[in-house]
Amino acid sequence: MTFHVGADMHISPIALFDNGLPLQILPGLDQKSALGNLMSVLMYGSFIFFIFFGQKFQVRIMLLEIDGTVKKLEFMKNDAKNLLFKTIKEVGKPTIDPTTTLNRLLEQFLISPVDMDPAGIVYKFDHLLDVRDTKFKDEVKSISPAADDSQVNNLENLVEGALSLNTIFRIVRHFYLLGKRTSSFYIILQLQMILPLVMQEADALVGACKAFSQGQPIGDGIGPLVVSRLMKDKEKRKVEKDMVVAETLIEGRKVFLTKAEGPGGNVGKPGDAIRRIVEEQEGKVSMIIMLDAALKFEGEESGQIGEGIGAAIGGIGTERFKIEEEAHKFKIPVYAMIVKQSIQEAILPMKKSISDAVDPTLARIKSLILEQSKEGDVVIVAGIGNTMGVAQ
Amino acid sequence: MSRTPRTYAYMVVLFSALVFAYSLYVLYSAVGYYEKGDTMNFYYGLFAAGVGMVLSISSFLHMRKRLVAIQRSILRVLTTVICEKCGFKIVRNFGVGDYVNRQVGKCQQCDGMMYITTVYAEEPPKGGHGLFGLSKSPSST
Repeated sequence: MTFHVGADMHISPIALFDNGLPLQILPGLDQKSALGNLMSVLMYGSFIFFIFFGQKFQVRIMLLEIDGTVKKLEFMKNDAKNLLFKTIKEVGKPTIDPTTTLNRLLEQFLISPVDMDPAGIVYKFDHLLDVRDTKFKDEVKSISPAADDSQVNNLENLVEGALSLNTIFRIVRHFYLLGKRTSSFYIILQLQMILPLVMQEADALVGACKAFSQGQPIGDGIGPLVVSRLMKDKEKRKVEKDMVVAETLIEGRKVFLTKAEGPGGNVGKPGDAIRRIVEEQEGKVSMIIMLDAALKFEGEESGQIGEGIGAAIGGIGTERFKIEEEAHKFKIPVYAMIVKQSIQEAILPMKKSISDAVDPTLARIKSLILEQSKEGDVVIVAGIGNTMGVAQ
Repeated sequence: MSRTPRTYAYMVVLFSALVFAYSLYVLYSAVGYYEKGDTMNFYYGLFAAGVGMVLSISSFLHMRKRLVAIQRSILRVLTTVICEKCGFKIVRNFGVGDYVNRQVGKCQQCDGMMYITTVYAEEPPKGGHGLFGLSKSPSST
């Protein structure tokens, strides 16, 4: 058997290694020259190398890339931790060294309730979240004696941001080391595939920590921001945990406005607040409008407003459950209004395109109230989200 | 003198340009070797010039990408203060302690009360970041 390379070249497979560069891939190059021989050895050597060690080589390259990312994540985590220490020292003026407490907080975890028998799990979860929230606030308060309530809330948010970065770093490092130790191509491949998304989130968390340390409104605060416009100069009262309620009249409709208590970073418990208002009105509520930030699809503009049906609220789902339960009990229609943004924008300082959505959203809320209710009706408008940097 | 991202960008561009220029010179020499019939040196030169050009272009593009990413991550946060009475508006840099609905004193125009209405992050300019990945510094308001 011979290979017919050119009109005048007939090379037998056996002669491949004898004649230096058998296939004349580089015109004009002397096959017997040093470069020709070198090219030949390199070609065949790399061919054999990739047959036997190709995957291992690929794994090494991927590990190298992941190693760089893990180092970057470690830097980000330390950066957030340093910012946390600095802010606690500046704002809280601790009388004792906060290092131990903060290190303990950054390693906190939550064990979900057993879901083998799911009946009643929502309230179990709600209870655990309350305990966690109280513990975090108490710990932060204990190391920040000079901080007021708003500042304690902001510091608690900052702790949460640093904790999230710490958790991301620990998880990524875990799979990196596991993949390295076992040389498992599939563990490393999966980690490498999700790393760009993980890094996007980590980058956003670094930005969020900066915003939390200064108490700047974040994208998620668009709901409370819109409601705060309607609440301004109205009499407010506190209901439930960290929630405020005000009343206003819109075209003859009695409108209850509710949001988390600001300007400290806080999401409150909108489910409990809405339940309280509905109970106060003995279920005679003609509609509930929920306003929240929501995730946009790639290609959509940030700050676009969307309308829908249902309880617009994120989180684990305990608050949504309470609202849905109350709405179902009294047959109250629930309308959702969302301001679209990316997951990064939701935790970064509020962008102009999002804050510009306040006036159009107010107009949409008013027109929805006019369309779906009549004079004398009672309406609830709830601004959902983190109210950092937004008072009432 | 503090080194700004712009200084680093110029340094990288200069280095890339030098490598690129040298690669062109090597390529030119390689063509000379080819004309003389020295194919071995021609291939050496061709290979070296190719590697040099690819590396210089890659380094330039990589640095540009990084600068754009850095620029995007630096957000300038602004506070809008409005007088409720006359509508006089001030946009200034965010200061710690600013929050929406906070009273910030009397209006310079009409003596009415001024409130913070929005706090927002200025968005990076749309439509590219210039050749070096840097847009012009935002002007103070």
